[in-house]
Amino acid sequence: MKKTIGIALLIATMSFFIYSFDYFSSLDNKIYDHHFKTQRTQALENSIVILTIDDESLEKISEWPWSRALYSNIVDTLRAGNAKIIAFDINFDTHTKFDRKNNKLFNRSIQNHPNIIFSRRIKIYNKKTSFLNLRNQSINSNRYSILHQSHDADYSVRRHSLLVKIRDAIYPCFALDIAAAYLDSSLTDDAMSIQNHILKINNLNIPLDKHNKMLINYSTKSHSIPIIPILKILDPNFLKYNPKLFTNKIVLIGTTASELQDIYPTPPAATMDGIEIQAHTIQTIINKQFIKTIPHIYYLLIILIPSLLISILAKRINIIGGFLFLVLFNYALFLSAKILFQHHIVLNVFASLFSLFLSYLASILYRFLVEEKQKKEELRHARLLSITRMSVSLNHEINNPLAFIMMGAQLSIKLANNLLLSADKSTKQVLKTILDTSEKTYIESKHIAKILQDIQHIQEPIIEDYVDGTKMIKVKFD
Amino acid sequence: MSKTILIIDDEYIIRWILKGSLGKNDLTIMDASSGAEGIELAKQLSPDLIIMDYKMPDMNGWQATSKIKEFLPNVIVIGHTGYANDKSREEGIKLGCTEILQKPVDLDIWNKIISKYLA
Repeated sequence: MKKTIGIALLIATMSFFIYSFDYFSSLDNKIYDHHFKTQRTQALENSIVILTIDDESLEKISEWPWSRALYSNIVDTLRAGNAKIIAFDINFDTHTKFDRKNNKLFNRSIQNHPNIIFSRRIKIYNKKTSFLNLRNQSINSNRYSILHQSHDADYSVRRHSLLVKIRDAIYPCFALDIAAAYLDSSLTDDAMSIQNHILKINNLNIPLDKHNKMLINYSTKSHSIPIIPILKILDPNFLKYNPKLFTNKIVLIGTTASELQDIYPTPPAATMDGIEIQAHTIQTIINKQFIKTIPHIYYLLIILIPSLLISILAKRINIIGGFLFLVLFNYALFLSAKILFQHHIVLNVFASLFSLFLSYLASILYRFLVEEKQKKEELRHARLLSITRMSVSLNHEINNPLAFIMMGAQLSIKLANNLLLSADKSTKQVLKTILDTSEKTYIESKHIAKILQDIQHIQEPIIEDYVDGTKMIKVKFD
Repeated sequence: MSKTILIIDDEYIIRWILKGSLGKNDLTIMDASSGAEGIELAKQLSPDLIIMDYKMPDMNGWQATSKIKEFLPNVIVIGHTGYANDKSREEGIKLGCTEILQKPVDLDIWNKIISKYLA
């Protein structure tokens, strides 16, 4: 009992360490993704509109890269439509054509809107983060934030680094910058801090995972975020037909055209445009619908308790019953994970399942070995007992008559010897025969007595060959 | 002074052989064929040494020994049995046997035992 619990403890501790090094994450991620696909849809408020450079726009607006006059036009339209924030996920160096006149036009437009956010890409090389390009000097704004899509080992985008450190300076990411601006929260260094995997920004607490990243809540259904091709907004009558579309909204401007591909796998969809992922990230922060993780150290208990229970149960009930409990525990863990996810809490179950399964196997194996050993011991004991009983019977039944035979032979030898002195020739011959026979009888009866005594002291029967494959127990010890 | 040996055994041949083999000038050897007869004879003779068989029809030799020991506490009793394991030996010694021998016993050993105790 103590041993199986000890084994379960060992397995659970080992599983916890394996879990700590993220070896179960690919399996846990599959379940995590599954939760997004199967969860009930939530009617959450949407604060975002996406404007995209899509295939149709690229086709209809023939010159590429586009003129900055076109973007000036877009900004003016959005301002007229009362957009609260305009954010560009666009590389102006490559996606637009520079010419002095149109650039001036664009700069004037952005001066007229209080909340325009540009993005800068970064590169991570040898774990060192730096900007991908120099800042575009032609655009008259200093409102830049970091745009970087971090992904898990399977390239899926589940979490996002909200703060990025470049050469000792901390920069907010694009999504955080936009969300904070929307919530009218300032992102000064004094206002931000990370404590116990919680990012505190003024009054807002954003729970982070153990790598200090925020899990993106993809609960908002994609189709609830309007995606409008740029081509359409260039229609002078667009606002007339959609007067409220941009009012107080965040407008993200990015690409969805296949030519400018910017797509990633995500939990709810096999591919999603980068701009849409940004929208989900922003929406997560604005709605405060954060997905929380369970503190890492608690997993020690989450892994240990089911393993201990199964090892105690498997010891008391039979193998089938233990297996049923195993299935029940599995089900309970999956169900807990599902229910917790509905409350936006992630429970990773695979480390616990792994430990549970191993503990069950170990306890069965241990039980099997112990029972096998017991059976062998019982068999040996039974065999020895039957030999002992046989030896008692043999001794009892044979020793009494053997005593007559042996002592009788000795008496005959004594008497014959006495008579031999005074006997005549023919009698002497007879007496000699009696003497020979009696001596032989005496020696053989001593031999039998010795064998019986040896059988009495057998501790472990030795089996040896007799003839023609017949076996016998060794009773003659010289 | 002549010493007396009493043989208690239900087997006539054993008694006969022992009487024939152990007989010496200064030894008186008597025999009894059951436990009860043996106890009676022991009362009359006060023997110096008793050779006691274990398995007898009326009582076992160890029971007879303990009864004899009640009136002859110093008598030497040699138990003589077909099967002696540790447990039956222990019981025999507890009930008064001086020594227990497993059958068959060589006549030479009988003689040695007799000399050892009746020297």
